[in-house]
Amino acid sequence: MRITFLGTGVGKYEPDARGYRANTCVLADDLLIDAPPTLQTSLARAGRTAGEIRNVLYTHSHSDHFDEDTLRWLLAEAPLRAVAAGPGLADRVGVVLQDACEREGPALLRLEPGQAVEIDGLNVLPLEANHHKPGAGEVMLNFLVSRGDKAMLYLVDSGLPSWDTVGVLRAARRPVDLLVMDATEAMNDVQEMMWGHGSLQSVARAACGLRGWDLLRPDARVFGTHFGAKIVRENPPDPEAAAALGVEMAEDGMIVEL
Amino acid sequence: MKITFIGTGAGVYSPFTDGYRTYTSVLIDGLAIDAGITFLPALKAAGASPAQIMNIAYTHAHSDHWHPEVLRQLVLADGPARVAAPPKLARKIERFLLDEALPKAPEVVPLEPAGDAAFDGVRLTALEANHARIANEPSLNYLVESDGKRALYMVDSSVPVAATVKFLREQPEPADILIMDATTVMDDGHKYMFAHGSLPSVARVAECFRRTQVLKPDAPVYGIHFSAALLAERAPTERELAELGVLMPADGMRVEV
Repeated sequence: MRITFLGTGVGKYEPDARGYRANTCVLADDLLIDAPPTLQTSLARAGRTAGEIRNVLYTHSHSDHFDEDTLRWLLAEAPLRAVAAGPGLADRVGVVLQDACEREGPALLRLEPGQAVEIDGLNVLPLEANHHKPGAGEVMLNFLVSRGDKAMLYLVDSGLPSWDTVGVLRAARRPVDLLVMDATEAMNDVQEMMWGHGSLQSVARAACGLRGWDLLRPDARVFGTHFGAKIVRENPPDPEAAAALGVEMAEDGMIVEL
Repeated sequence: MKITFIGTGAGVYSPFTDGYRTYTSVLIDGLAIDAGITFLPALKAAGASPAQIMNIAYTHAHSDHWHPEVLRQLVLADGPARVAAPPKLARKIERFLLDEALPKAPEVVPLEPAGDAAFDGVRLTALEANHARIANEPSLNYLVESDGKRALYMVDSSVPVAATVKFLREQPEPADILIMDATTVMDDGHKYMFAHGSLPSVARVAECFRRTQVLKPDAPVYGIHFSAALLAERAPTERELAELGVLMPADGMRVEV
């Protein structure tokens, strides 16, 4: 499985600002997780094309993860087979699909936490995220994505996973090769948003806790992503300090082969 | 507001081991929060009697927090007039009280997150805990107001969820005392961290609560619900506790806010 970090940031769209990171999204083979407004820029910067994207998964409806115009652009440019979203967002996605596709468009997959689906050979286990709910009825999702004996645990826009989410992962018995976690606060471990986001330190602690349940392989790589633009500008994190925590900092365009 | 830490422990029931702490429970101006299987001997050891338990608020249905036989004995000893609990546990308690056909059975009050109730001058507001869901029902933490003071009780919980923090930030007054889950003691990356806290995590939450006016600047912060095994493995030094700014109460300790 090939993972491309297309965007690793959050916050205002300021591509010329120092240390700019595009809105967070990753490509796992041909499966895109989140399609933010900065997707086109991210693809161009990484030398990739929309033609490589065959399926889209959404975590939630916040505007830096789900953008109707970007989905319409993907529907026009990418050979999409399926678009998947959780309760509360799937209806909105369905409206865009119906409106944008004159002929038969991609399938709409309605995801539920804990209920695995197969999307073009990739196994996707949706997990309930620990985040600020954007709207009534919406369940925000994280994902365990696997193919063959390789797996990625994607816990972005989330504080620590809940006990119940850890229970779902334990039941899945699928130790992962790659943990990608929210580090919005970079090296600021105590922040007002710490309840629905993480820091590089909290990623390190969570990785330790997940290892305690054998949910990470011994040689698993651990990445922090979704860095807050303002936070990073004011207090740039030091990759060496992150490495000392056992956490790598994802960068826009970075590729990880599993 | 007078608070007695009836029990401050968690884990295996082993009362004859060194440093044993009974299951976690506090008494705040006549309101007991939780009454697990060790509650009655712990209450006696703390110099209190069942008749002093005017009301009980349960956080969740795990047996170290709610135990039917303990409630039966409390009711028989002319104990609580009212019992609050998450709705599914409240129904279970009601059925139990009906089956037992006890004289003067207490009124059972179901509480959901953000719900509140007033018990003999003590106002209780339920908060969603970050703990195991039991029968798909969230466990509760509580904001307790009495005598013009506010105690924030966040036990059997990991770092609070965003909805709870949002609710607390909307409160008109900051809390005067914080009592939090420190099950894993000094182990900040323990596998139980997803349902519990540690002394360092309590310190982080307290710092953030102070910055955001959820907690008064001079409010004392207590960690409780210590795992017996983890405390034996790695107890904090006095210096570490001072640096964290977190207090470790012993069973039976009383504080006044």
